[in-house]
Amino acid sequence: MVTDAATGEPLIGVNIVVEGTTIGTISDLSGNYSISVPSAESILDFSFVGYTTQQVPVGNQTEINVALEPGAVGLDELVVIGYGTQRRGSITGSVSSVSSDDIQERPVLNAGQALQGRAPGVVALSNGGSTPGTDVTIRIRGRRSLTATNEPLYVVDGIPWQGSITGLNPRDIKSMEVLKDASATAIYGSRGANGVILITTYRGGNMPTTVSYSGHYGVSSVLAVPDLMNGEEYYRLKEVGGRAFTQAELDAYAAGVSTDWVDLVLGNGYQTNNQLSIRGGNENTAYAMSANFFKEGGVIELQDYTRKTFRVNLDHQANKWLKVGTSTQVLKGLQNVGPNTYGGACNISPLAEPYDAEGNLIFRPGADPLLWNPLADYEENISLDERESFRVFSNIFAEADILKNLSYRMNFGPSLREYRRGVFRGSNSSSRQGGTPLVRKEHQRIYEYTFENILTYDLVTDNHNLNFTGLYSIQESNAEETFIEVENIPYETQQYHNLGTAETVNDMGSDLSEWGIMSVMGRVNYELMGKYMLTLTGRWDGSSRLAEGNKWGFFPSVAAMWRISSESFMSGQDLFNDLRLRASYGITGNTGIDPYQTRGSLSRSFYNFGDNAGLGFRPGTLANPDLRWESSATTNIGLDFGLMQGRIVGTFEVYNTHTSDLLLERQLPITSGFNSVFENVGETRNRGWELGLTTRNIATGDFSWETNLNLFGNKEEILELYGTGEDDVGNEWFIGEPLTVWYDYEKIGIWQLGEEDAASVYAQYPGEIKIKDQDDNGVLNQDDRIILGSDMPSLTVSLGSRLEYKGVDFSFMLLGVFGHTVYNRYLRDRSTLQGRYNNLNVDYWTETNPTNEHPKPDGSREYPLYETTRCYYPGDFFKIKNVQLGYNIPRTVLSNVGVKKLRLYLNLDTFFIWSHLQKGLDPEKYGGDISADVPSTRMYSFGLMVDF
Amino acid sequence: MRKMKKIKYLILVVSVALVSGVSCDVLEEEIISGITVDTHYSTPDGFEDAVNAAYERFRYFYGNEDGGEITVFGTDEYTNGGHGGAQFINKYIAGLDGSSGTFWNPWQHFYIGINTCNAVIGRAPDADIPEAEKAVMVGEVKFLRAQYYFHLVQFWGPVHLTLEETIGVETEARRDPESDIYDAIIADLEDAIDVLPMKQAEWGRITKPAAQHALAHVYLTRAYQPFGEGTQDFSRAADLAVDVINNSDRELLDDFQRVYNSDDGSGGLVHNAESEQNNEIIWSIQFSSDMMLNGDGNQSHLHFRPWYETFNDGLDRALGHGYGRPWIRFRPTPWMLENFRPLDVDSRFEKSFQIVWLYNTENNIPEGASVGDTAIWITDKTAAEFDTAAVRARLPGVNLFTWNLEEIDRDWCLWRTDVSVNAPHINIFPCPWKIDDNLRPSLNEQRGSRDYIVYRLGETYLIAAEAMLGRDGNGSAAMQYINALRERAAYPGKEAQMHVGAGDIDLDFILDEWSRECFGEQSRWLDLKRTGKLLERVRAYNPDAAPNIKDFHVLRPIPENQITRTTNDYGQNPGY
Repeated sequence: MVTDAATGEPLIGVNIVVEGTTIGTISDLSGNYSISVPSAESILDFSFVGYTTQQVPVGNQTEINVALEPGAVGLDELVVIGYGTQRRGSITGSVSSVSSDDIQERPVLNAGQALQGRAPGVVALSNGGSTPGTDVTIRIRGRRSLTATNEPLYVVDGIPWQGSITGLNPRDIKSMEVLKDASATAIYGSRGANGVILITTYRGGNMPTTVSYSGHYGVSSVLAVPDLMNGEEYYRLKEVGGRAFTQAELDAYAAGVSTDWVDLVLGNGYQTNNQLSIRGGNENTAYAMSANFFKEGGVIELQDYTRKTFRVNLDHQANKWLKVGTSTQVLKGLQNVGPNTYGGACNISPLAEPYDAEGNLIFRPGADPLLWNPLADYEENISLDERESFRVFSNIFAEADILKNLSYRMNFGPSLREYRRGVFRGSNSSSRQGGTPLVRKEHQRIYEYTFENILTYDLVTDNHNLNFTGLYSIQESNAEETFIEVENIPYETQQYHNLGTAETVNDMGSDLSEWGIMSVMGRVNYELMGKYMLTLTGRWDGSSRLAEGNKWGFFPSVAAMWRISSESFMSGQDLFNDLRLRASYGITGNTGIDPYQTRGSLSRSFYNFGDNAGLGFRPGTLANPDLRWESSATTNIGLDFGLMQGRIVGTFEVYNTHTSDLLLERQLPITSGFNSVFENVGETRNRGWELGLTTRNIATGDFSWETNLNLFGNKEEILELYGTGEDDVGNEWFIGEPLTVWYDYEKIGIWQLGEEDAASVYAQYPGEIKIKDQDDNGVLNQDDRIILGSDMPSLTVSLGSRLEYKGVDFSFMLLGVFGHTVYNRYLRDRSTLQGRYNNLNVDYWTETNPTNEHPKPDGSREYPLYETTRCYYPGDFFKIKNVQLGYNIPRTVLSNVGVKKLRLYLNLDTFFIWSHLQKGLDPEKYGGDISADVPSTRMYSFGLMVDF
Repeated sequence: MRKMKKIKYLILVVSVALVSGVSCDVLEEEIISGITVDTHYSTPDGFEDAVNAAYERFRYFYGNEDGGEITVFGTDEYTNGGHGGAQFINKYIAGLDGSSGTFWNPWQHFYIGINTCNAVIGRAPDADIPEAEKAVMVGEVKFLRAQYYFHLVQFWGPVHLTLEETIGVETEARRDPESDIYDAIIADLEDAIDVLPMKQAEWGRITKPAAQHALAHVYLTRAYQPFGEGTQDFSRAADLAVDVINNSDRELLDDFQRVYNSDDGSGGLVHNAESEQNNEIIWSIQFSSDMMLNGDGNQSHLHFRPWYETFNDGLDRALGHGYGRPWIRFRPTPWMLENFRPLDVDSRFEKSFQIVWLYNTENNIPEGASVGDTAIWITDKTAAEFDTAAVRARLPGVNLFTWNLEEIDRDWCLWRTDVSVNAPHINIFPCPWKIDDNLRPSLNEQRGSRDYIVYRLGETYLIAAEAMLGRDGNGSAAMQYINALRERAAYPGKEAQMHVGAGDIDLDFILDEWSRECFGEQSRWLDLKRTGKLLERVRAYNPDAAPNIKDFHVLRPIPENQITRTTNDYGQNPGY
């Protein structure tokens, strides 16, 4: 049995390993364990997050009870580092860990949401709106690449995971490690440049069978309803804008019609997640199985997302030297994107009426005949966009102890993804507006596999600890897709299941895309006297996507660590119980471009000659036979510290990433016949610092209070483009600026009455947006645009805190992001001031209202002149992301009913937002383009976790 | 134990062998779904594919909204309707600058087309097809390249000229002198004339008459330019046009109406293969009712249509002739309609415009009216000539409008000036039959299938007349060609009244005639620019544009993308 030395409570999930072997188990819910050891000389290793590891020689004992001392740092805890594990205290690179508590605490859709606010240097921002099933975007230490991918690499139980991480059930995740510096990521070579997220799922152990259920149900509602114009205000807008009224509009206005369309299309959403898992095993075989059902319904009831996953993780010790096992997940996901009625409801005139006198839906409301009634889409099966995904993701492995210190592991990770999209737009749907039904079906099948051979050699002596890892791996992907779009099907009930009956074929096609990566990697970890550590890695990667002769790249790294606290001169003090200094340098690569970019290809052209087809091929993309690896060199210096017996634990790091030969899609003057080309160009730099601080403010028997602060800043900068030191205005790339900037005219107000002459210089009139003529030459053109800001924040803060008193716990998380500029596309799209669509109720200019906010409505322009200049806002925001109150029912009560553990909680997501934007708009959006196509929401949920 | 060890090593060896075996071709990249220029264009099918591709980009100009906005707007013929976002193009006000997509889109499509043409012409020597066939194909493509450049040079003046396919990354561009560009155009068209046949097996392919017409058009245009050869160019243009008129298989149809539409058998109009492949057409951009081939389609049916569906209950958007989807972009100027008078002599007004819409649904239809009754009627009459009270009594719920300028102060006049800016009149006007598309499969379908006529023999007559006027300085020779068109346009028995004398013919008269014959066909802005009449006639006839148009507007702004993406200095046109 394993217990907490301080409280005497049993510890659940303690790792117990026979030292120097792969034999291991974990303690069960009562803290009990059993394990078979090869010999009496064996030593058992007891390790657990937050506790000091203990080694116990077995001898002839049959029952070994251990009381673990709480040791905050968990220096001896084993951390997954890629192709192996390492004790935290020996890690030379920059690795942040997210524990299972943090992952499982909140109701989340995917691993990305679970990462939010948990690790310094990791930005996890939503992609805006709340379309159910939408991914979050993860960026680790900013961006390096201009047009190649900036996505980190996900590795799930050792196998790279391609595609949306939403397809992985987060309730199966035991821990996540974020590899940030080059030393940690270089072992992933070509794909490590953007950071690596290692995901480990729960496994079984030598323990009694445990059945667990966890689930939550939440109700979501919009943050705020936008302030759109009512019938009266809209009438005034059109009148001022000089937009012609139709008779129906005049009648509706006279009758006082004012329809609140947004209110009619929005409701409450919901989210539910149910996980049933069973874990257990004996000394030879361990298993963990789970079934999960997740469903999220949007505030637009036509949108939802359903995910069903099943997992089997098996480990079997076949004999003394051979272990086999698997981690396998099967996924079935269905995203109903539906029709987005919110956009239609924001657009349609408030003078239009949804129903006639008899209560029947009016499809084309008289007062706005150009817009279809968005409520039409709520009719049964009138408009569908169903995106179904099916995936099997597996790692099948075998591990053999070849010699005493040498082991070999083979991973084979096949993944099969099927994606099917079915679109059906019935005749009366808002997208067809009485036209013929339109149907589209897409199929995609992606087969990938990873095949890895890993040799590990360990040599442990008194003062020397040497570990060597060698890898040979290949990965290949084969993606096929087929689609067809038809129109005018004879009966609508077929939806998208009888395309052959359609009269018109709009489009069809198929495609094949293949790529492969081959790698050889070696890593040496050397530890001297438990104080000095050195890691050397080198990886050769070959990528099929790059040009002949440039396919191979070498990515080395070196890292060293000095455990200062183990030095004798530190023995006299008791302030630091842990102090480590780390430094690393390494090079990683990026090949995140689509296959076939090195080869010029032809584009299909469509034409006809009379009744004959005139299909053709024109030069489509420019060949670039010189494409090579984009590489990033990163220097990282880190300080890990533990103060006051682990009451304060933290990490401070600074880094500098220098990326060169950027793979970028460069815009070209079209006079060449080509709009863009992929090239290796330029250099960028990312500099930043990160502080992670965990403090145990109070830790008494009954009461504990812990706070976790992550604070980080990053600055990205283009250092050079084409070697000429000149900016590339056409691509909006500027030396000394971040990779993406907002580059536009500068609004300085509205032309007022009395300024007619000044305005006429620019062929403008009072009431129009006044732009600063930067070069003051009387003409507004490309030379008058300036850099207005960047979408990349300079400072990100997250603060999590948890209080526990007896069985009650309370936690919250704050998130603040500062220093960036956002583009309020929602404002742009909803204040065209044209009188064609309903408008946000903004302060617009009239002869009697000389505002400098918004221009005078103008029915002759789809958007006001220089309209985008109204839309740049400071992006700073602060959020209370999450508040949770939980209660653990006392064990004494539960034991009577056969329950081992029961926790109940109430959770409130997106509790509070402060930002510069209009209320109802969520400022948290990667890329800073606030479109709010679907309203942002907050969610109240209730959950429980129970173990039997 | 030793056996066990052997097995271990065996596993290791087998694994390594397996990996090496599998991995040989991991890094090979083989394109299966796509093809590359080098492998495809040298094959017979590939070369034909390249030739076909050279045609395609004109679809992104003719029958396209941007192409329409830079040729139809801001002329004497057309001003803006109540909808659409590019009315600044018509009005010559702020927004008409290099940042506008309206200029960028044609610019980019022309240059994409040019690079395709350059690839065809440059790679022709390597193409594995019979020389005779190849020569014709190259002739077609030289015509197309000349056309792309002719469009570019007319809108933008000096532009980048290249006759070589782009192989590597090209980030520099020049503003080559207009005279060089004209030389290249003329050389290409002369080559094309030499090799092209009178008739091609496939309709829509370039023929010799098309190349001759084009060259006539080019010479006519250059004749007005300071670097042109004046009288000599007029003379060349006239000779080429006359050659097409006299010696080609093209002919004027008897009935002006049949140029654009056929009879649907019940007195209505349809566009079909018969109307689209008639003997007057010299070059038309091809569109198809097969949506797989149709690309974005011919969308002009949207742009010229008024918002007829909002004026009456019982009249809705529908399929079929005359009831299409309205985008209300282009609205006739009063001058354009007046230019057709006398309407009982010249049949072209009646044959060109829809002026009546009928009730087409029982839904909410006004009491006393039934489907098929007149719902909207736009007359040319004054109230004195047209008994509105009687008509209203006869046609319940009818909306009556007039375009007669004498009625300008009255409520029913399309041009009335005394009303609020919110009046619906801006959205109702006569709709051209020549853009109507009865073959659209679906109510809101934008992709029309009507071929877009660029050149037809009627226009060759106009080129001949304008060239002769320029050459001779008087209308004595031009008269014959003008009268041929006018005779055809006359109502039976009214031919004599249509005749004009040599003294009646001046440049303005030819432009008037051009409008009666070819209004709205995406050439007006260029016709006015060519003849140096743009400012004068816009100021006289387009009330929305008149106060704002300036001298520099005779050139369009170079798209900003071109300027900012070019590594050398690519200058903007003056004024922008």
